[in-house]
Amino acid sequence: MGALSAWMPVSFQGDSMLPTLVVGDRLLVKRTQSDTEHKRGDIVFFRDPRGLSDTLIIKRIIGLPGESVRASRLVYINGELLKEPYLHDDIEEVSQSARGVNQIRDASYFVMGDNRRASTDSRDFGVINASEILGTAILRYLPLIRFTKLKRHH
Amino acid sequence: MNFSQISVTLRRIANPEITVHGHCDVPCGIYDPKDAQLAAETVEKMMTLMDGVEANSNATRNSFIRYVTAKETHAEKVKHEVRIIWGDYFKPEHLEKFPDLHAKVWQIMKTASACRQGANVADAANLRQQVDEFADMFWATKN
Repeated sequence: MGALSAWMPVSFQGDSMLPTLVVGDRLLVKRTQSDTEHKRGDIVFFRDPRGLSDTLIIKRIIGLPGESVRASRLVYINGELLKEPYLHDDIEEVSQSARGVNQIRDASYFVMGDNRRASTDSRDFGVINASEILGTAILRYLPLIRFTKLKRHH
Repeated sequence: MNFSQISVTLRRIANPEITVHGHCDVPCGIYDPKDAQLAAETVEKMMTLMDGVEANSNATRNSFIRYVTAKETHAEKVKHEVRIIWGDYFKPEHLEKFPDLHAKVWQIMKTASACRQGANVADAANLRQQVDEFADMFWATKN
């Protein structure tokens, strides 16, 4: 992949962002301008942080610098349940497999897929550095019937 | 911008060069009824232990409450695990082989609820048998 443009179209693949994103969705993404621009709920993409491949991974920002996170399928931020209207309705707690961090270090984010049953994310590879975030998905333009701005919800 | 450039741009918008992945290490389609079977066995075991509690002391009351709690939790777990396999794994073509699948799942839900509500060991034994039959259906359709 060459240099990123300020705005660019990308294709989405995979199941881990269901029900928000579906295989084949076309997204307009905005290149990261500043390490401090990211907010909770942003859908961001970055390279596989484990260096296993050049795959670009897309997830949602859940935890912000300084926060504590406990995450299984539901998420607790600083001990409080995070309201996440973008999840499947039938999502339930699986506390015995909860993972998280006591305090997210500066300039880092805890990211998760919306499909909590099938997502490899910060529950597995830990937080990602702000500098690793290449861009943010702003809207879905195809298919036209599901054209929508991708909201932060927070 | 000339026609050629417009054409290239439109093509790029329709078929972006860059792909982003909603990544999951675990391939979808991994199902196993053993959790449901284990939970059903636990329900039966807890009911058996409940039957064995006789002396009325703090210690025995504490144990009894723990057995009831475990029974409740695992009966609900049976329902949860069976629903996942029923809803996510089984496909319409499986119904040709097991036309009573839906009825069987419905019965498991009812029996598991009976196990939550009551303390009849026969219900628990029935639940275990029904879940085992459900597991047999699963393995009979699994490639």
